[in-house]
This record gives sequence, structure tokens and C-alpha cells, in this order.
Amino acid sequence: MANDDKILVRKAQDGDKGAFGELVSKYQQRIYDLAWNFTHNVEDAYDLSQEVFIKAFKAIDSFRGNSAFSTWLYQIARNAGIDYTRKRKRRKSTSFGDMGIIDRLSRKSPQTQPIDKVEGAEIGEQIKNAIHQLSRRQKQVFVLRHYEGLNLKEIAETLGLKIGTVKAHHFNAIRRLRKLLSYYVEEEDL
Amino acid sequence: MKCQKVVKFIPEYLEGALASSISQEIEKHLENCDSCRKELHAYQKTIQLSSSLPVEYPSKEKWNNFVPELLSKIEDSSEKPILPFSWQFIWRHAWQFAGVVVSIAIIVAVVFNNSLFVVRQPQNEPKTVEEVISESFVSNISVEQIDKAIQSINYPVTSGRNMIMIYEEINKISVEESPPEATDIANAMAIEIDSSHLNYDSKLVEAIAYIEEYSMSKGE
Repeated sequence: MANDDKILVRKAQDGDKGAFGELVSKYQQRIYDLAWNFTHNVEDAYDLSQEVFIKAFKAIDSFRGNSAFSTWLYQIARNAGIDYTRKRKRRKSTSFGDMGIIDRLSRKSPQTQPIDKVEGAEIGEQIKNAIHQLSRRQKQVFVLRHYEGLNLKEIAETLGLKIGTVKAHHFNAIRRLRKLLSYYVEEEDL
Repeated sequence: MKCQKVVKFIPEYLEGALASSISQEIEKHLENCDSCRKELHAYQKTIQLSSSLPVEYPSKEKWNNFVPELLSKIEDSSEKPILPFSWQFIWRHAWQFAGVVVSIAIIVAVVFNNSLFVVRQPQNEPKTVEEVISESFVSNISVEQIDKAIQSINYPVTSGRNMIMIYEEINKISVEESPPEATDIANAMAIEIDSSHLNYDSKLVEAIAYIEEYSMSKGE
């Protein structure tokens, strides 16, 4: 498998776009999945994964084969994902969009909030909204920890932050998500 | 260990990031405290929920077109732009080009009131967002005071002016005292600002992001 990659990479480095296309076909899904973890949006994930492969193509001459091609490609994709969260503004929440700022800040029990219950797939939308409401750093840390499976030390190295800073972002992200999703979290306990 | 402290440690406890002595204390507390056990369960559920979103894919047609579309983009981007002159041509005529450049510079300088030769007084540069925010973190206002300040502003918050007033109040927050509250307010504001399409929204969102970074660094 790795040998196949080496041959294809060598050909791609010689300008064989067909060989590069084969590499893309092979890693398309994994790179898309990674992009989706950062975007939680089909269109953005598609565009971001295209961007990742374009970057990889442009930089393929610099790939020396010291690591597996897949490792090199994931690194490009992860950096692109981090960059995406940096550029992207937080989105307006659709679930809480009709609520005023005071409501959102009142820290009342979720049971007292006048929100209709949502079911099934809609919960997924609420989770996406909650993740989009995290700050840039909180989101980066949360995705790298819980979607990409990196430990806190690896995240610190990836983002160029101190481990203590990463811990603070991670814990604040979880606290915030817990608050934003309390309606569903506590609903299951009822 | 008291409930309040246990709840504060729960995220770190779940991550296994606490010293074993503290973890043991928490476990001991959890054995006898229904309320904290419920809170622990809620956090576990939060992480489980938030990290279990299934990947959604584009239509089959779009998915199958991924590689051709990509190769087409690569093809387009690799086409070299057509330049009127080659570098060799420019190099051969370097003196002529230099003469043209100097002539243009002189004309521009004359037209713009000899601006190349006049030393202008430095103008008052607008302060950066960082400067504005860091200067504003001077007072120690409690969370209760912030709430009061927000409540005192006409509700619902619809106008840009109200947004600025709230923003000014947020500036007064001592994030060292209450980082989660400051973050909550900043997040809520960012949503409001994002949806209000105000001219200064990007500046404010940038400022809010800075508040969060600031509060996080103080929260370590």
C-alpha cells in the first residue's frame, strides 16, 4: 500500500496529474472526513478538502518521503482545518437565534426556556450550532481532541500553544457546550 | 472537598489531568453526592453528544466529480500567465526600464505635492483593538454589576447604539475574576453582532475574540 503511494507520488512529482488523481481518489474520503470535523458543513468540507489537495499538489515536490504520504497529507489537512476555524466567524445560532441577549445570559434552567423540543436529526443541528458558538481556539482544541483524537500535549504542539493554555481552552469549551446543550443532556436524565 | 470545587474540577477529572490525590478526593465525594454524580454524568454526556456528529456527504454526483473538478482546478492554476516581456528582455533593457521607473517616480512626486521629499509629521494612528481592550481592563466590576448594567440597557437589544453600550460595559469586566461569564457575554454579543451586519462588526468581533483569548490566558 505504502509502496503504491511512493510510486504514485514519484509520478506526480514528475508532473503526472493522473497519478496525483489516483492519490486523491484514495484519500478523498479520509481528507473530507477530517475537513468535515472542522467545518460541520457539507459545502465547506468539500471546498476545504479540494483546497487541501491543491496545496498538496503544489507542495508535492517538497515531499521527500521521510514520512508516509498519508501522514504528510493529514498534516496539510489539519493545518487547513485550523486555518479554516481562524478565518471563519462564528455563526448565528439557529436554535437560539430568536432569543434575546438577556435570555441567553440569564443562566436560567433550560427547562424554563421557551424553546420547543427538537427531535432526532435536529439534535445534530443543535450540536453543530453549539460547536460553532465556541471561540476559535476552543473549537480548534475541541475538534483536535474529540474528533481527531489528539491528546492535549499533541494539540499544544500542533497549535503552538502552552499546555496550560490548551487545557484552559479545552475545559472552557466543555463547560460551554455543557451549558449550551444542557437541554438535551438533562433531558435524558429525566 | 465541597460540591462547588468538585464541579469545577469535573472536566479535568474526565480528562485524567488531575493529580491522583485530587482525583481520589473527587471519587470519594462522588460516592456520597447524588448531585455531583449527576453533574459528572451531564459532562460525560456533553462530550459524548458533541463528539458524535456523523459525517455528512455531498450528493453522489458531486462526490464522484471530486477528482475531475480538482484536476481541472489544478490545470487552471498551473497555466502560466502570459507576460508581455520575458525576464531576459527586461534584463537586456534594464537601463531603459530604470529610466522609465525614475521618470514615473519624479512625476508622481511632483503631482502629489512633492510628497517624496517632504517629511510629514506622524499622524495620530488609530489605536489597535488590543490597545483599546487592554486599556479598558482596569476596573474590577463583579458579574452582578455586569448583569445589572446589561439589564439597565433597553431590552430587546436591537440597535447598534445598544450594542456599543453593552460592549463598553463588557470592556469594564475584570476577566481575571470571571472568565467564563466574560466569555459567555462575548459569545452572545458576537452572535448578535454577526446577525446585525453593522459596519463595525468585524472590529468588534475581533475585539471579542481578544477578550476571550485574554480571559483564557488569565484563566490558566
